[in-house]
Amino acid sequence: MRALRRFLARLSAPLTRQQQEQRLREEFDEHIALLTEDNIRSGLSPAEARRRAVLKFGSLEAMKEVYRDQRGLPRLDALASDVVFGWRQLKKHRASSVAAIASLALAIGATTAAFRLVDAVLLRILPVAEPERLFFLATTFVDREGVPDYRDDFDYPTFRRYRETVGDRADLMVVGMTARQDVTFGAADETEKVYRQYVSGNLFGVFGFQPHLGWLLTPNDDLTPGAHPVAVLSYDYWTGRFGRDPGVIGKTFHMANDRFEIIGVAPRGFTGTEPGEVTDVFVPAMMNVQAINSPGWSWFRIWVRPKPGVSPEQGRLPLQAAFIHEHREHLKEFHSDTPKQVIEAFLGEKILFLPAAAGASRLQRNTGALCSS
Amino acid sequence: MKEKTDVRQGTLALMVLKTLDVLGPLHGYGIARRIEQISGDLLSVNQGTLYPVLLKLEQEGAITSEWGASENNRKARFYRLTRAGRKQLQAETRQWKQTAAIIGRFFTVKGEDLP
Repeated sequence: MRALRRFLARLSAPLTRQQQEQRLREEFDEHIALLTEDNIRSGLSPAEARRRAVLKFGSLEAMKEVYRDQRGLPRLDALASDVVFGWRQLKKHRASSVAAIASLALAIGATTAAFRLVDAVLLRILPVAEPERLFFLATTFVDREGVPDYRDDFDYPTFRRYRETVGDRADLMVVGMTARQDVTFGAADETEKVYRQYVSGNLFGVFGFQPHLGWLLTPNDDLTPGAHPVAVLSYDYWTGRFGRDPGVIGKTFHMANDRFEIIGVAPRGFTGTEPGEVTDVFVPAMMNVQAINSPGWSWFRIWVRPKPGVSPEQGRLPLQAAFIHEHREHLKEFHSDTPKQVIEAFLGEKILFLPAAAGASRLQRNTGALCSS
Repeated sequence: MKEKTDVRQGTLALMVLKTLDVLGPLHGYGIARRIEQISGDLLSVNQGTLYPVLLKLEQEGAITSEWGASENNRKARFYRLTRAGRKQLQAETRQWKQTAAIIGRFFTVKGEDLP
């Protein structure tokens, strides 16, 4: 109790610092004066009396230090003087202070907004049918340092082969990476930025989505390279950009070298397949014309939904067999002096089905949210 | 001339309280002088210790202080015992007596007293 009271008193000390200093000085002066008087009374000259008094009193400064340490909380005092110093500096350099405060405010605001978005999107399960039966493909490899890793981006020729291999055991989907792109709506000259995602025509159907407005992409919108300039808007983008105007269907926009027609609005709550990324516009994979027939141009993930009654492993095994078969073919091109363990590691690579219930992203991978099985 | 000793750590606070209890409000210098006098000038009160102790006691609420006029009409800060200080004095006095008694028994003990 006593310690608490002392602590509170010490805490409040800095507030009345000036008064305290004043009091201290007066009290010490008084002490020395009284001591001097006593010395004079005992027969010393005034000068000698004062000298002895000061001597007996001891080093004034050292004592003040002890006294101050007892009085306040030294660290708090130091902090307070730091704050005062900082404030003076701020006032001295007004322009740069304003700039610093403004940029801090902006940064904090932006970070908060980004965090809220990521938090909401990362933790949200995709609003699709049977999310637990949704996977994305990944292939394992061992990197130069011997650390196991996986890659999950593919090119379109590979996608075609895998689709053939899997046959009717599962639906394979192209899920592009969300990217920023310039668009111009209608005849306007002004360029806007949208987040565009290439997806295969079967995606919305496999997800079990119904359009909020108009139509969604179908496999028929994804047959011939460059022949399907149609687009589906996300619900959020439709809300933010068009104020939920139903008249948006049939409008066109210019993107890359094509003029796309808006055919529908995706269901509410579907913001894209990649946590932390929000898609504004979905367009058919076939519209990424140059990439379609380019082996080694990896630009999307492959998502898998096993057909009803087919287990994920039943879907995976044929792919694994084809994968290793391709590896053996590839092995023929290896140098004859390739170390044995490199060959073994190469043939030990696997194709995996990783869960995609909450979407798939580099973000999750970086935060270690996934573990390969 | 007798050698003066410094006040032992921890005992000065008790001496201050007792002095104020007996003599009423006093300024710092007065307290120092009185303690030296009461001890028969065996003690020398170091001012560097006295004022921090006064402050500590004041923070604990055992004493309060206010400005007043000294005997020759100078401005001086007077310290006064509070009710809490009086209680503290009683408690500490009891403890001291107890401690002193125990130490005393140790000093007087003889071998044959113990079974």
